[in-house]
Amino acid sequence: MSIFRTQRLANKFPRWSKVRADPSSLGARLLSVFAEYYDFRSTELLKMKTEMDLLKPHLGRGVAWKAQLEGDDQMPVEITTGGDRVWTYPTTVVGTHATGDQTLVRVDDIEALLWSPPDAVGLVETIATANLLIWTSAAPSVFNTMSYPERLQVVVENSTDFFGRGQYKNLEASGRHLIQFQGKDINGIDFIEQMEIRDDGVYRTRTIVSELTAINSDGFDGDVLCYLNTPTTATRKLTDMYHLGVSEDTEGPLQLFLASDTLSYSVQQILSGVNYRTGGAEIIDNDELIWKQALADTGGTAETGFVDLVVNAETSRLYALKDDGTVLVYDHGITPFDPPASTTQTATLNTYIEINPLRSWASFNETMKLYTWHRHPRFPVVYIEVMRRSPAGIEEYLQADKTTWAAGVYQHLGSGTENVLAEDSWIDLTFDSAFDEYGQWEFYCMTRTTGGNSTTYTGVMVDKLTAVATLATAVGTPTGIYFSENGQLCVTDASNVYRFDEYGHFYYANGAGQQLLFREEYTNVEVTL
Amino acid sequence: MGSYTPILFDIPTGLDETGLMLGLHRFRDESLATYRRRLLLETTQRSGPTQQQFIHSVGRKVGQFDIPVFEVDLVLDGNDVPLAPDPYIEVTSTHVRAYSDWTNLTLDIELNLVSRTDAYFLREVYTAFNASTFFDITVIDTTYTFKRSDRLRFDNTERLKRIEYLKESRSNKLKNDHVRAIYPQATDHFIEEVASLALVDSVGKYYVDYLNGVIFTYEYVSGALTYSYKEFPYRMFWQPVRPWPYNDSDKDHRMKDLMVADATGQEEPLLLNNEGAKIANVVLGIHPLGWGE
Repeated sequence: MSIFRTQRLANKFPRWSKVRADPSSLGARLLSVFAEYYDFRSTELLKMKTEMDLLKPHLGRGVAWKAQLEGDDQMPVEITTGGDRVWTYPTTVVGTHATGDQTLVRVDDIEALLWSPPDAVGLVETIATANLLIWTSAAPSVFNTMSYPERLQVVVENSTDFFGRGQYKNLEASGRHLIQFQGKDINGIDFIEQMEIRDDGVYRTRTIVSELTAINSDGFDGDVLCYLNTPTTATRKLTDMYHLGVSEDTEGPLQLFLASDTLSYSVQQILSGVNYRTGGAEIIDNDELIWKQALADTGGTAETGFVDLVVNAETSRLYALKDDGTVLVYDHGITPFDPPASTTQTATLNTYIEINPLRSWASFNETMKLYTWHRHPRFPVVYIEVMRRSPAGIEEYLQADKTTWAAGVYQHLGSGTENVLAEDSWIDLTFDSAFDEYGQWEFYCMTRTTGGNSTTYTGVMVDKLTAVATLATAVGTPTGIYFSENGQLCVTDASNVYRFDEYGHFYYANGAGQQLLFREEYTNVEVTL
Repeated sequence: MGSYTPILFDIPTGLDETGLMLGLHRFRDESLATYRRRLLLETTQRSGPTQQQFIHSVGRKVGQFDIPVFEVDLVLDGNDVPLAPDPYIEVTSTHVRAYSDWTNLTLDIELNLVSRTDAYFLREVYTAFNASTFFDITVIDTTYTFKRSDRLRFDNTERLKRIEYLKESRSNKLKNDHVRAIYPQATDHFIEEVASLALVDSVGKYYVDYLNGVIFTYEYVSGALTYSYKEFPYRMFWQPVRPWPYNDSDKDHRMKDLMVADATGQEEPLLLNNEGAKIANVVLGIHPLGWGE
């Protein structure tokens, strides 16, 4: 699963190149090998960079538990003829946990032990909250009480103007755009924090605030709202702090939001509001939608009824809250294209006519336009055949009406071959395809010219993200999800915040040391070899 | 089938490394969130050798936090002026005293925190301030009722603000109200303090609105000043580990039993008791003052 680093590498190539324009191309698929590692390392480096920062968003995992096996419980070792040591691991390990007896699952390494997706949650605390909205610029003298210390979620919206340096409205901040918060921190100590506001969006304070006493903003004219938490929407997007959003033309912080129960990825084309919010000028649509995918449960069935999203700062996984209180955990990112699977068609080395889709991704049940591109007018075109292969493996040909698809081959004739230049022999056509299956759709264009034939390939992904874990919070009518300052999973409803601990009932067997390591605390562990 | 009780072991994190630099290690079973809170406290309110630094930091060294229990504010009249002309609150080793006029030592509240017949629990402290005409009390920690009063942090409402930079203006609002005295840099803006704004009519004259913390000068001012002020609203903290200075005269109420004084004929704390003797021996053992060891 990669995010958008492949596109970032591909953007080093010219705009006309297939490797840049088509993520299903051979070149892009090759780059995705490096991009996946690149993405993983970037996330690690971002975390390492803030490791010594006391106010970092992630805390780490500070403890684990171990049991030293003795006597008959010790894992027997066998040395293979190749000299490898092979231990026989326990058949069952049952731990007595605060939530009841748990049968533990063995993992292969320490990393998996500490950072595997949780398999359960336990309610720790229910906190009554009169109001999740702490302050709004519409009522600047009212500071609602915070029910508990937390980082504030700050929404800046409806700005029409970001004032430039020297503008009369921005004399105080002198070209900067900022919000200044004053109050008491988690220890009751006075704090002042200045937050740089790049553009309208959703931000979080670094300070863990227990009481807010004053807010000043300067440099923009939008509304400011401070929440304990507010759900992600199409206008209040979630910024993924660990991943980059990249399109063919631009890149910036990756933004996530829900749209009709699909997970949408977008990136801002212009990062700074001062560059396009200029008072009287019409505000452009600055967000570029770069990918969409359905959200599925652990079995792969697409789910609906999503309420809110959050990214876990600890593991950089995406948590999606459903309206029945279920939380689905995802290793989010776009699904990489596989090599084409058709056994009847193979892309040739030469290229005369290609198929270009409107986008390389399509929503489920969407009908999307595709078009041919006479990329290399070398010889007059006699005819072309357009074939598609659905994820289920059904191969069909585009028919004369350019809308329907059938098993029978249809040849779309060129303009003629007698005394016709190659560039005049073909008029590009557009056609429709309905994408009614999840997975990789393949399109082939077989071109017959007077000088030779070519077959080109392109793919379109109807993407679906499959959950790696399902957590049942049993909150009846949830309104939002977030992670508290101490790393607990929080689900809100109209009147309460429910704080949960996440549990991972795993063990790691250290054969050489005859130890079992555990992620969770168990009062007792029964080991059966 | 074997049965085992797993043993906890620490996994080092970036917080532990920061903690080493700050001289605070993570305790066994202490969560990373609590540990970070202690480290944050240490970075924003550093421990050190002064009396105040020691009093503020001793709890965190053993994994405890001072808990804000009450917030005391001033009762205002119709013109938003405090009824108390010179308010002052102090928490000593054994007493809480609230003065409505500290200059003239007009006492409004005096509570003995170690006497079971006076203000042994915080509920009595609350009751006394709640009945005051000069002070208004707000509960922060709702579990205060039967917390022992002699764990209130040794403190008072006097504060000193070192170096506050002034804006280039004829009037400067200081960050704090209830100013007691100002100590400006020696510039020709602050030569003569006058009694009203109307009298600021030439270079060097200045007027201070002590209640609201505003300084008026004749010309645009620059530089910085130090000032003392009274912190209201004032937060009282309850300490799980409570230090108090040995030279506090009120300590006699803890260390000595009452007996009738020859000079006054009144009961006064004069007879060293068990606790007092124990403390005195420890102190003299460490610092014999020229005799003893």
